[in-house]
Amino acid sequence: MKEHDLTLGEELRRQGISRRSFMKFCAGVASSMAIPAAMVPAMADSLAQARRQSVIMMAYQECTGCLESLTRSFAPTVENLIFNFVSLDFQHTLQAAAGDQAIEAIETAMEENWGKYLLLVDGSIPLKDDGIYSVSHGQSHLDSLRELAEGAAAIVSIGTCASFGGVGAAKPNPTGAVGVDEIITDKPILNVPGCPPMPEVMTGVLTSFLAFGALPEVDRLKRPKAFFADTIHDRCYRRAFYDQGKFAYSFDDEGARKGWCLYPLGCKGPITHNACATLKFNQGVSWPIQSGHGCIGCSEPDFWDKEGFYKPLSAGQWGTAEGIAAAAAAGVALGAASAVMSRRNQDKISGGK
Amino acid sequence: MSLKDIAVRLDSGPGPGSPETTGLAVALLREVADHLLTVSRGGDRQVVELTNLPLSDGDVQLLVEKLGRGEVEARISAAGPTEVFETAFPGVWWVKYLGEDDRVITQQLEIGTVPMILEAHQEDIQASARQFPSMFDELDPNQH
Repeated sequence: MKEHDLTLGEELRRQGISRRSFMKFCAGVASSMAIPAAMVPAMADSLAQARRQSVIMMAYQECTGCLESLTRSFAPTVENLIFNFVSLDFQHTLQAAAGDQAIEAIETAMEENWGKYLLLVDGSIPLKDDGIYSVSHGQSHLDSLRELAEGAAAIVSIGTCASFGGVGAAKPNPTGAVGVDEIITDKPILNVPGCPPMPEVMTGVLTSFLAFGALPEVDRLKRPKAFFADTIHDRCYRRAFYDQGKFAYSFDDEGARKGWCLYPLGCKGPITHNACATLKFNQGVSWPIQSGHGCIGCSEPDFWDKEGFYKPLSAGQWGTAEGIAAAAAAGVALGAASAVMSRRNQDKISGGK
Repeated sequence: MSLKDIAVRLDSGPGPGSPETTGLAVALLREVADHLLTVSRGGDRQVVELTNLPLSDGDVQLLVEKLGRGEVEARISAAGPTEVFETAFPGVWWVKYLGEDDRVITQQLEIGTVPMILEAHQEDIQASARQFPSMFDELDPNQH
């Protein structure tokens, strides 16, 4: 029987991987996506029935930072499971093939999985002068994206560049760079912004696509709500100090040493949606605010161009006072919101059974 | 002048490394009490997720002290280790899913008869029922 014919459950059992391992993987993903832990068995069942997903990952105008981040999700053993769930048919940095052989690999993967493969895009796409500023194998990335998108079941834009243009699109944007959704408009697209994005988000998105057969619910910027519904400020462990009016005003004053709120030092936490505050980076070691630096807002559009990283929100172009008040109010509503989200995920899971 | 000549002093805040409690631990204990009541009346298994909460070290310490240790503890080897122990309250289990490096991936309080990860699952039991008889092919018939 061909690899793709087996369900993931059968495939893993063949490799001697027990249902307990599956449950553990699902427990990790459910925890990061705020899916109620009691739903883990249903999620594991559904995932076990799925088949290996063909994935084509294209690198356009990018720095490889996203790939560096993605290859470091969870702990090694659990992370490896996700590689059993997908068939990564093309990723030019990770694969051995190069040149004509690499192009053949894309063509074969497209042909065999037309209409079914998941297209992951890393990097922005230049539009200026017909996209000649970013070219691989004689083909502009603009043409490459259009061609690959046509046969894709869905597209995931990885990182702020693929999502919103990112650093490539920073002023004066010499190449006319944009994110994927400004070019492709007829496919389901999900953005996983961040510079770099969080690896657990990618694992969550892929698992959710496999287990529930659809991309997870998204916000107005096409970001998965499970990870991007809350602001950094909502979930920040220093939030209590913000509420008490205890702030750091320089990087070595008393407030900084005591770990107080970094708002006056330009922290963009109140208007930045991401999950760093709970998932952290480098397998849970730390994250910017825990290391004593304010959030720079890397998962929001145009974060490079919104004045300095060290200007407080109230002085910059990030938002109006109302916007910041709304962020604070959102924090209060957080408990209720996550309960609603959990229920929604629950419905989705039980509805699929 | 070298780096160590620059005096840097870091006082801890209420974050991950702080010994202070934040009130979250007490709220969690109340939630566990509710769940225990549900399960004691024959309700479904309940799970409290600990990983995504900004618990301080003080909070975790309080949970450890108040919940205590019970009769059962187990270590499971499936995609890295998982540690399970029953707290001093029968039916309240502490489950730690660990990575190979013993780093906590996710941590939960499970309220029910047996934690999910400890049960043998139907799919695995079916596979073992299929495999088990092959042992007789290898046994020497003259010995029986």
